[in-house]
Amino acid sequence: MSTLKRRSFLKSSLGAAATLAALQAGAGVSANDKIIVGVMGLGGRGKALLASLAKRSDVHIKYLCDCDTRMAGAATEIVMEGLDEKPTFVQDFRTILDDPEVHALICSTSDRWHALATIMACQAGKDVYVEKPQSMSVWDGQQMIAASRKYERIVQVGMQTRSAPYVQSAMNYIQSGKLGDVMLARVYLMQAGGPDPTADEQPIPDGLDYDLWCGPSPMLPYRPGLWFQKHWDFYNGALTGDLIHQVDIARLLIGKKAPNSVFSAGGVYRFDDGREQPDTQFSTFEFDKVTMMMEGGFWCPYNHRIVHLPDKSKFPDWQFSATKIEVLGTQGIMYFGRHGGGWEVFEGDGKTRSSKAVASELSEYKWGGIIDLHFDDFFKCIRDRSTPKTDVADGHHSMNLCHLANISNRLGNQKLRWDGEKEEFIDHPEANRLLRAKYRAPWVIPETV
Amino acid sequence: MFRIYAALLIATLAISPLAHASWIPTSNVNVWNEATELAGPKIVIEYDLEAPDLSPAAPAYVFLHYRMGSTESWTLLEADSLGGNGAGMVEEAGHKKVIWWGASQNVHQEVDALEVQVRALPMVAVPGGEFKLRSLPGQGRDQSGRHTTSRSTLPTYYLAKYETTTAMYADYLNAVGDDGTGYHEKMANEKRCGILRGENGTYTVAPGRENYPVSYVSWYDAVGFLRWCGLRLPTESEWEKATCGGLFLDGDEAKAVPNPMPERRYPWGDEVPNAEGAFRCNFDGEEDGYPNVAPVGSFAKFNSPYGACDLAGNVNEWTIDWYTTQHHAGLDGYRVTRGGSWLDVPEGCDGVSGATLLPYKESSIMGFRGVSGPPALP
Repeated sequence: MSTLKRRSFLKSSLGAAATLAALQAGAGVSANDKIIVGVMGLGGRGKALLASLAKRSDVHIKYLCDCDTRMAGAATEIVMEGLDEKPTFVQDFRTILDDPEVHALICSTSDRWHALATIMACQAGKDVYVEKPQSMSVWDGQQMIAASRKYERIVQVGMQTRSAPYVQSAMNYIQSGKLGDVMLARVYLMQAGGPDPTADEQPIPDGLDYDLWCGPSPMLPYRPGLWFQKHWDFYNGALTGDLIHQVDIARLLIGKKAPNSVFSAGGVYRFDDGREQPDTQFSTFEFDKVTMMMEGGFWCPYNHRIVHLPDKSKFPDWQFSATKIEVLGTQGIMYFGRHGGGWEVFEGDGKTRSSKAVASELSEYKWGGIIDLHFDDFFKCIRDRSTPKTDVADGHHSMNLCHLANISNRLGNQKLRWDGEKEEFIDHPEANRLLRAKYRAPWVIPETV
Repeated sequence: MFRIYAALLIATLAISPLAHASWIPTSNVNVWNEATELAGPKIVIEYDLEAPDLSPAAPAYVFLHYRMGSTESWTLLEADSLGGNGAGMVEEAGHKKVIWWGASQNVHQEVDALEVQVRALPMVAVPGGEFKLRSLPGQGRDQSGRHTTSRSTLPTYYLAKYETTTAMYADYLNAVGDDGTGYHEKMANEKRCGILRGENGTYTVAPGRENYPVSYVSWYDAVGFLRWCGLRLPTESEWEKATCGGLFLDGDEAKAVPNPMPERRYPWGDEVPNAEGAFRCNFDGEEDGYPNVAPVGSFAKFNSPYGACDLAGNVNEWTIDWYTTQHHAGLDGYRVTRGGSWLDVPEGCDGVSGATLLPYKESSIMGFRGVSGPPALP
């Protein structure tokens, strides 16, 4: 199959079953071979991932890809300095999928491309590392799982905290029953924020394939900046787009898959800058007797992320942690930190009416350290075909909580009942219509992957 | 007797057509103590500035350091303590006189031990007035409230004509001491930088690399160098106006020279850097003549409207502006860079697009130049 024919085939495969996986090599990589990857999306997150990849001796970065050619230089430099090799820069990620030498696609674009790029990569026989939030809708996530399973592809989602060593000990502690019966998990993204101005419309700059950049999202007039992050059609929202990390770990710690119901409070209460998504969002999920509360707000300057803790002597400073997770049991409360931080358990003494720390695994990680560990897991799985720590299905079940919270909010903060097996709302057609995102042809999530 | 130091003269300066890429030559520095009838003693510093092409539009920025004996460290003479015609922006070559009013009693009493260095940096003037800002500085987190993407106004400021060179930077490293601050081993890469650190803690530039831009500089390194000069990094707005020009190139006071292309995409106009077989800046690849960095000023035909060189390509340039995302609440410290580099595609070297980088990154595509002007607003 020539490159051109393969490209044509991929284009026509959108919406139809594809069998390219069988035609591609990438089924496994021997221990001595370097894993050949292409990186799609070279913005801030892409460069952060490249900084980790460029330290690895077991990886060959063959392609860098961004539909905005202006992103090429800084990303190329990271690879050249780290690995002393110059990747080929391409604007269209399908060039990476067309190359039979490539084992894996690293997708670090903004939200709107995650699902479709993952599905197309699976169809092309590539393993995938896709950044969070992995999907724009519940349907996206279902089709990502289907593609991963159909083409037997490794799909690792970029919720890196699962690769932090202290996760397992926290799980062990909870599963041992030392917290008592777990009743509540609270996850936070309560931090400083501000309005985001929107630039004027401008001509599409040279070197930007704006059609491809918009991809599945509407092709609105071009503006520089992050204006697109204010729109549901482009983005999951600044709160849930980041809360997904905490939600995922909380769901892992309490050992639950899907809630029975969701209801939200909140809205655009603080920043009148044209955003569609809430700047204040409190959502509650009921898992039978266990409840999860998700608290998001961009108006808390007194809180900080652990990596930004100004006074290290106060580490981990749970009280003012912007991104902490709390798991509350009938015997104790566990504080868990993202970005490092580790965990710490406190118990109360009924006689003295005091509380004290009884167990902990506090852990500081330098910037990027957990990304390195997450990639360790991904590349191990590519070689031994085992299931990654954040498999696409795990990511999907966590991301569903964010989708459910957003749908509740978009419907006026209604309480919605959820059928976790069917993955649909019970007796609520209006809510069920929001289980699929809008797509712009030809960039449509196919009915059959 | 006073000890007298002129600025370091690079051997190639006298013969290279790119002579002004490093310090402008100064000579015959003299320093003495002079009594005044009413105001007490003052220190007088005289020197000759050897640059025939200076003008109000292309002045020299002259800054001076002093120390009290060879074991002391050099200190910048603050501009607000200096008078005369030989410090700050100097618009004409010739014999110059600087009057230092702010010297301490110790300096006056032990003037025999006083050592002075004089350095002069080529600048271009960017007259104050309106301009069309097309980017969104800091992705909209410019808190000054002065800039919109329709029209903005900046007062007059001065931008270094060239990117900071390896020769200038090595001079700085030698002046500030031998503890290695501001130096990284990667700078020894002779294809991309070429500053070598000797065993005795002194710094030299690989032969032939003197007029190349310094690279592998972090944002902190750039700020350190510029503070030593008495300058600062440009804001994004300043960088963009210097690249594209104001609505009037002679400023809003005169308004005699309208900018024919106030919304130009590149310093020279709207043509991409490799349009029609001409090469207008140093971008990715060898076709422009430079597989890595190029000597500063190599594309002088394609300067900005104010005469600044290499605002497109060569090394990407640090600005003082923050870049923040809501996720990170402004705490991740990214800084905006401008201009593209020798590793960017031609379209990536425009005057509007910005990139972002963590400030500690010591990258082979990163360089900088200084600005003299009003304090940058947050």
